[in-house]
Amino acid sequence: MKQAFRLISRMKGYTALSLLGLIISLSGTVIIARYLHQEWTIDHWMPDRERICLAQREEYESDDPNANRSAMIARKIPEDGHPITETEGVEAATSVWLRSLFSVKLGGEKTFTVYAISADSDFVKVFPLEAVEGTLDLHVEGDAIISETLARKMFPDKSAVGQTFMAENRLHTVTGIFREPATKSTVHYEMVTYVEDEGWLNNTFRLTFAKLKEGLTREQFNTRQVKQKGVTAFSYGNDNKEVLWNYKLEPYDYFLDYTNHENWPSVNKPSSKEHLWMLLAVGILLFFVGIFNFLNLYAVMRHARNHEMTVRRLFGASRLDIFSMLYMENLLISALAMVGVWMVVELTTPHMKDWFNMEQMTMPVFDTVLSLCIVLLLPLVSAAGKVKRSGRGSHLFLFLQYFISISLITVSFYLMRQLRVMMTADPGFNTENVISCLPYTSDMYSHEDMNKEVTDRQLFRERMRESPFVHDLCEDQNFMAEKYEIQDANGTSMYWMKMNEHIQNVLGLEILEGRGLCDSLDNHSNTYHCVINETALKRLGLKNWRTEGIPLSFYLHVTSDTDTSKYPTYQVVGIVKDFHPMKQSEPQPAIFFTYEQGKYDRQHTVYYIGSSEKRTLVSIEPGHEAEAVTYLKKVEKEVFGKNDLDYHWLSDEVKAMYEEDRRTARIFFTFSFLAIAVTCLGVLGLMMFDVRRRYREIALRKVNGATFRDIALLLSRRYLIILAAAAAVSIPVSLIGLHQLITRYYTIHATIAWWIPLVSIAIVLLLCALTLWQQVWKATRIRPYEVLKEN
Amino acid sequence: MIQTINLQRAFTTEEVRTIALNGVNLEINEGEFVAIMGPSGCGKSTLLNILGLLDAPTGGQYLLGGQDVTPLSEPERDRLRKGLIGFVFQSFNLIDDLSVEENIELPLLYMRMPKAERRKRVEEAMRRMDISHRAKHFPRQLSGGQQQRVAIARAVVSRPKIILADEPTGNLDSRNGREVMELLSQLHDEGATIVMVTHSQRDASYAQRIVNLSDGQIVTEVEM
Repeated sequence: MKQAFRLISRMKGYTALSLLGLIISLSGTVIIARYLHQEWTIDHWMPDRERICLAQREEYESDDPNANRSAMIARKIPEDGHPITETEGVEAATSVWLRSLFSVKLGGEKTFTVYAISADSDFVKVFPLEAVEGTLDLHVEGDAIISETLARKMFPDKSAVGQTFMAENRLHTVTGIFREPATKSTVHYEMVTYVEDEGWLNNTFRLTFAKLKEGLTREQFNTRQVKQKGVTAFSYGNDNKEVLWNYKLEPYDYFLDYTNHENWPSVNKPSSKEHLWMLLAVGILLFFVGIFNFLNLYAVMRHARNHEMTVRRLFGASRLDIFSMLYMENLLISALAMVGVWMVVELTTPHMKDWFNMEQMTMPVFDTVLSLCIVLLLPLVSAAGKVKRSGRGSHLFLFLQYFISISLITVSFYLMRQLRVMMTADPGFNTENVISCLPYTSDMYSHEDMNKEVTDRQLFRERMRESPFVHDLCEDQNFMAEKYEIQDANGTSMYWMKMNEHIQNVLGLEILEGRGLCDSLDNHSNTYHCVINETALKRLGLKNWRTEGIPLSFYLHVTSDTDTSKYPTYQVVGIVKDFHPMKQSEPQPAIFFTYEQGKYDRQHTVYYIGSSEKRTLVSIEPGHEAEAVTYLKKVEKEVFGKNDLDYHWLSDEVKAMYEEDRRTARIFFTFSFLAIAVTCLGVLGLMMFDVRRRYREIALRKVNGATFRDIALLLSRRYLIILAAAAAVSIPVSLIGLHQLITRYYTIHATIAWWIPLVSIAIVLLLCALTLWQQVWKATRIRPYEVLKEN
Repeated sequence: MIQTINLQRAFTTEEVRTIALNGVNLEINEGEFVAIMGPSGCGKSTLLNILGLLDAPTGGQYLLGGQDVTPLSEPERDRLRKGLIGFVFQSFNLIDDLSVEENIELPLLYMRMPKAERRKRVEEAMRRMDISHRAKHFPRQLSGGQQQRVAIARAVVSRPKIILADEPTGNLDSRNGREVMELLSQLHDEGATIVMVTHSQRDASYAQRIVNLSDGQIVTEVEM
């Protein structure tokens, strides 16, 4: 180890370059590796996560149990009997309410914003949180359990257990502290408050989770439920129709498609698989750039010590002795690099969310294993490698570094171009001058509440339509955030949306044939009417849509005035022009529209999984955006008594869909420059060695008349040839790679412009030339007489 | 051809200032063969470097072919040196990675001479130095005598008017040393101006004049 320290102090320049290169590349790799690990181990802190399921219930008519299903999120203790906890195969169940961010007040007006959920007393029976202090059992209203970190933040000087705080105008008491889950959680919370009766909760989304008994799978449970043909029955409607229902369990994270982070901050949607694979590719490439760089520079250090090695061998050092010595040197460099890496990771972690939307959580076990692997294995590779006099190894490594850098920057340019194409593509519906707002939330716990809301919403609509700035408005539209997939009887999948003349107006939907759905013809109609888009028409294979119907595999509506004993067949009344309410990278969806009257009517509410937040879309007359928003706020206050309009523009909602693409492009761009930086460090190191090795030669050439240009060419020729070779290979490879990427992940895509690879090469060339310049300049400053005197 | 007036060269480090040349007045005529002698550290090589435009004096004047080259910048000195001055070193200073013919070709390359002309000159120089059979060999494959022949071939291939030789036989045995001196003598007979730094009385005997240096000053000049 002493000798290793000596080496580092003797070869400061090369060591510094090696360390810097390793720190840059490994920091990037570690950041990506941690993020990937975090995303790929979501909810792994729950050892029995396969047994934890989201409970729904399915309803069907007692006289035709095989037909007509509708699904809704189950209540743990439903009003019509048979709690899920009493169902065979269920070990425990809990109801959880997703909440908005909590504003928590301590004495002295100290306020904290907290990620919170509410749950009943069986929460920890399903979710195995570990108690650090106190008890995690929630018993009475006002009980709250908080995470260790939040406890430290809120009560830094004392034990949090027994402390009180105000939240939602209620006094809460901390009954216990739980340890933060070791992995990322689909539902992230720092606080769980107790709820028994959801009546007082505003703005919530209830989910019921059931934990199955050991040995029982979700599929087995569901099959058993269907065979039992309904665990209970209830009657409703004017004719007291009997409806059977049973429980259906879905995967734990099934609700993710129907929630968004904006409405429910506690919900962590996992990154899409393709983006994670792309990040993995960047991480691996950057890792290799760093490793090649290190191996190259270490080979230079070994070259410079050839004489020393020969002498050691001459005086009896075995291969193992030499290997051990080299291993220790490398171990020291790797360990120092790792210290640097963690400093960078720690310094950048707080900014990762802002820079790349990559929140990093602490994972001590993963971090330790990753660090040890790098520190112990990297020296094995570098110490075992042979140093060839020809320098072919270093040429190959440098070639690969150039190759990776050019390829990465080519792909990052393309991704940015692709992003621009997707974001500027016409979605086929109005996104400009449309406000998406939430003027009210449904707080209906009695018939009085219900009636009041119906009246208020009617008034709201009327008042809004009075404004000269408002073109039209439609309610209950969350189609951008929540996608409902339905199937016909043949299994053809379609997205389901609601339509009436207002929705059609606001979104500017174009009817190609037939008619759209509207109040006058489709409200309280006894036949099931629908409109489909062009893609749905093709996909369903309807030869004559005016006469053929679409048999759906389950009910969309539960109504009292329709004949539900038959399989519902929807009559197509119109074809709407295709539009794209999802990311442009996804294929054009088939869309199926049913009538929505736009006023609240419990009888017509679709019983389907979804949040209680249904946004209102308001189409504004162009040029009057500010006036319209002011008016909207005024009406909101007047009708609903609210003073905090939650709104954004629909065009921003469209842009938000590309956040992940934007992030990936940004990461590619940043990390490709890191790869170039590391490559430049390698080139600098090699060049330093070259100049030193060729001091005498340069001096002699100068004596014989070599000019600055001659020396510059002499020294940089090798690097330029390798760069040219790498460019020649990387262009076709990156183009083939891009083609694969395009065909696999993007439905519409940007063209691969001719300038992309050229600019990529130019950037790498420019940065490497700048690196070489300094050394070339130094070389041309050599005073021949001094060098030759030394020799 | 060469004239120095009160030439001075001092080397200054952070701690000490060393005077290598202290008022050297020297005149060398065209076609003359001059040997510079003196004990180690007397300034012989420093003087040779200045004469060869590899270094610049810190005082005095250096006139080369009647032109005052003292104020010239390094690039200007480099340009002037090209094709005018050839060098022969004690330790040969051949480039290891270049073959014999490539080493000899080097000054012509930097004179931007056409390839055919270069080829011709290199072959002629190799023939003259009797090393044609070693054209493709690398320096490490040659004996000391052969390496110095290559070095002399490189020094003369551009047909310089002045050849500066810094202890050209210092690393050679007596037989090879004699051969090298015969070659230099031959070049002198053909009209080259030769300035040679040496410790050897025997080598100095080939010169027409011996200049003795001591402590950076000329102490004696002996015509042979």
